[in-house]
Order: sequence, then structure tokens, then C-alpha cells
Amino acid sequence: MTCRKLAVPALAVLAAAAALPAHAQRGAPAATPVLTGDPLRRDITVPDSVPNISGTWSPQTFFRTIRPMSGEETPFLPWAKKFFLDRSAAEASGSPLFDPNANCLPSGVPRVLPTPYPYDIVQTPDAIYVGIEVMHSFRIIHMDGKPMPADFKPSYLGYSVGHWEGETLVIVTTGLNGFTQVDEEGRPKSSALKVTERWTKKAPDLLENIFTIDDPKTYAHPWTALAEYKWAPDVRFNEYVCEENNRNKPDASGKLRHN
Amino acid sequence: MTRYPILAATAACALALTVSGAALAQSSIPQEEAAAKRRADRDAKDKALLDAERARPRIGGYWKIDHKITALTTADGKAPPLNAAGRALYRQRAADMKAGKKPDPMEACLPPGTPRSLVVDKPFMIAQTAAKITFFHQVYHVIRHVYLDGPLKLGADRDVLWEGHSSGRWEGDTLVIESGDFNGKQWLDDSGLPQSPDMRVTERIKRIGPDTLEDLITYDDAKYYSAPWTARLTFKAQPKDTILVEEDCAEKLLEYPLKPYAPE
Repeated sequence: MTCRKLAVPALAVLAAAAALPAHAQRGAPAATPVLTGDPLRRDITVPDSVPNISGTWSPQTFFRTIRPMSGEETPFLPWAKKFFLDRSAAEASGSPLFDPNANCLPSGVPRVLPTPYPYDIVQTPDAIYVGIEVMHSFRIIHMDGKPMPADFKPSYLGYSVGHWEGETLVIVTTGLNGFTQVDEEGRPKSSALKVTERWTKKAPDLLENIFTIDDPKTYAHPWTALAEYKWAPDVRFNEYVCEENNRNKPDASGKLRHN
Repeated sequence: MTRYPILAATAACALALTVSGAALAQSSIPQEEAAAKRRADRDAKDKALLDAERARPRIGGYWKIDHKITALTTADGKAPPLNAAGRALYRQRAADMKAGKKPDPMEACLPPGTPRSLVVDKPFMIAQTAAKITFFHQVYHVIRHVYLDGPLKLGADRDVLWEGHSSGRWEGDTLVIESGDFNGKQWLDDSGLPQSPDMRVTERIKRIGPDTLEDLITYDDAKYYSAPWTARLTFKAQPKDTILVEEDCAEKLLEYPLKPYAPE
């Protein structure tokens, strides 16, 4: 590998070095802020030294299936395997089973991670807001170091706590209700699910999310999957009103609108 | 560094590039020089915009309307100047509500729209950035994106929306937001004050105290009102550990309650 090939990652590393916390730079000359990510799309009170992932991101891939990235089979417990096969059979026969998502309820975590719609991430001093175009929702990643409140009512998106490990944002989500599937294909989940995500900017225009699904009531052991998002600075959200089916509405000829 | 051998190699190269930076800039191929210059120009521009935004009054943080509003009034406490068509529609809605028909679009889990989302008695978060002001609302978990990109462009090939289209700009300490392109279906408040697709809204948002934000909202809609009129909303700052509760209105549209998939 030549230095020229490394020029772009080298800039990223320099940027990363400048973004390290002060204690990691002891002895180094005072760093001038390096503007990575989109400095114009993050709350003005977030210090320049915090890694920047603010801005709009588009999914690199959309998939109906979330499966182990290791290539192993999904480690279903027996009830979960039956649930999955029953759903697949019902869908194949042309009468798919109830899906809360088809009733305008959020996909939930982790099903929303390989979303086919864009994300708009806004870092604020105490939380990272992840705007999700689909189903008009947003995740709140609490960065204040406090655990989930004891009286938190389980929800589709749950309660997310995040912290930075160097350049990687680690998010742990619990407080999930068991009403939705892990993925569109029909892998189930229970309210015991804990999802741990590791978001890393692999290149200036690529955000990687490696997430681990830990649900002892549903799977024999934790398993890990991947989603990727591409930098999309020109994307602006459209209003998504599932309750009106405004994004997939057929036109007069019966053809689905392309949105 | 051993955990990241590629990074180490990259860093070594980067160091070499930096040390020989001046020489490299002169000897490099023209396309690379041009790209580096574009990047430097953009960073300098971003830095200037960011510094300018940081010098402004802070409107970011958690807010909530300071008292519940059922029916909007003008800033001096008078009833809005409905015209004959507006009065007829307003009376019809009141009669429908009294008859238990639930005519309010929010009852059907439709978006609160702009600027009704601010009138709702629930907390919201404002993220203040140099490129846009983003409102994250608890109600309907709706996001309102206000790009600081005026002037407002309306019509043409753009959709008409519950939230409309908004464009913001700073006038001194005041954030001025103009909005239009509404679908005309939402109510302005719980009492049923109407809007038409022609409505234009101008908001003037200003921090008027350590924990108070003011929004002077001018509604301009000749179809239902005899003159433009202005309401005054004030918001109280909420603690920074405020949690915006995930409200899933669509649950109430289901014919039967949800139950978990997993055996208990």
C-alpha cells in the first residue's frame, strides 16, 4: 500500500487524533479543531473534540433479513424457530400474519437499523438524536451516563445509553417491548432483548454499525449483524405519514409512487 | 497501536505527508491540489459559519409550553378574526365535537403539523445547529426541520404537507421562520381554528429570559380570516434530563391490544 493510497484515510486518522479527548493528547501541542462529519449539522454546544457523526446518512443496504454476519445459522430457541417457520409459511401462502409495522407502529430496535429510509443524526450536549424518516420517529441515545430509569415503560425503540470508545459510539438498548420482530422476515424477539451497537465512521462517507442481539428468551446465544450507512449530505427528510399511506400511495393508474 | 496495524501504517504515512506537507503540495498532481484546496476552503467556510452560530443567543434545549392552551387568541387576548367561512367551519367542528364525532385529525393519529406541534402541552427538544434548527417533538414523535436557507420556496413540484415547508433566518437575536405548503387539513389548536392550503405562517422565536422562550406566530390565511393575526406562545425550559416519551398513537387504532410474541 502506498502513501498516496493512504492519503484519505491518513487525513481521517489525523482528524481522529485531533478529536481525541485532551488526556489522550497530553504533551502534544494544542490541537486546532478539525471539522469532520458535518459541523454545521450538530448542536453548537457540542465540543469540537467529540467525534462527529452528525448529518444525513442513507442506508448502504436494505435487507429484510437480519442474520448473523459470521455466516452461522440464526441460533433460534425452539419456540422462536417455530414462530419463524410459521410466519414464513403464512407469507408464502399469501396470507401474511399480523405485523405491527404494517399498522403504522415503529419497526423498533433492531429492525429499524437496516432502514430503507435515511437517518438524520443530530448530536446535542446530553444526547444523540437519530432522526428516522420511516414512521416519523427518532431514537434518543442518552449520553449522560445515567442508566435507564426504573420506571421506564418498555417501547418499540426502547431506552438507549451511549458512550464513546475512542472513535466508536457504543449504544446499549434495553426497555424494548416484545411486540415487533427483529427483522421483516420474522425473527422474533422478547422484552428481555438487549441490543449493543458499535457505530464507527470507517471512512468520511461510511458509517458502520455492528450490532449484537442478546435475547436469552429467544436465541441460544448472542449473535452479531451489520448495517452500513452512506454519507448523504444533500438528503432532506420527506414527511412520512403512515396513517395516510402517503409514501406508497398508488397514482391514478395504480402504479406505486416512487418516493 | 498494535491493535490497529493499518492505522499505525496510515499514521506513519500521514506523518510523512505532514512533515513534507509543503513540498507535497507543490509536487503533487494538480487534481489533488485542487481537491485539497476545495476541502480547505470548505472547512474555513464551515468554521466561520459555526463561529457565527456560536455567538448567537442559545435557543437549543428542552422546552414545553408554559400553560395549556385550548383555544388560541391574539397576543392581546382577543379572539382570532375569523371571516364568515372560517366561522362556519369553526362552529361546525365545535358541534361535531359536542356530538362526540371526534373530528380532530389528531384523534386519528395524524400529524399535529406546523405550528400546532408547539401548541400541544408536551415537551420538545430544539437542536440548534449552524445549518438548521431541528425540533424533536414528543407528540407523534414528529421532527420539524427548519433549514436556515431562506428565502422560502413554495409550490412548484413540492408536496403539500401537514408540516408544510419551513425556512429560517436570524434577524439579530430573533429566529424568523416562514412556512407554507400546508395541506390545510390540520387544526391550529384543540378548539378547531381552521387553516387552508393557502395559509402562510411567520414565527419570530426569541429567548426572553434565562428559562423562557417566546414565539410570536402570525397566521396569514385570507380564506378563513379577515386579517392576518398574531398569537404569542411562551415556553418554559425543561431539565436537561427530560425524557421525550415514545408516544405510539397508532396503537389506539388497532382493533385488539398487542401482546408479546415470546411465551411469558
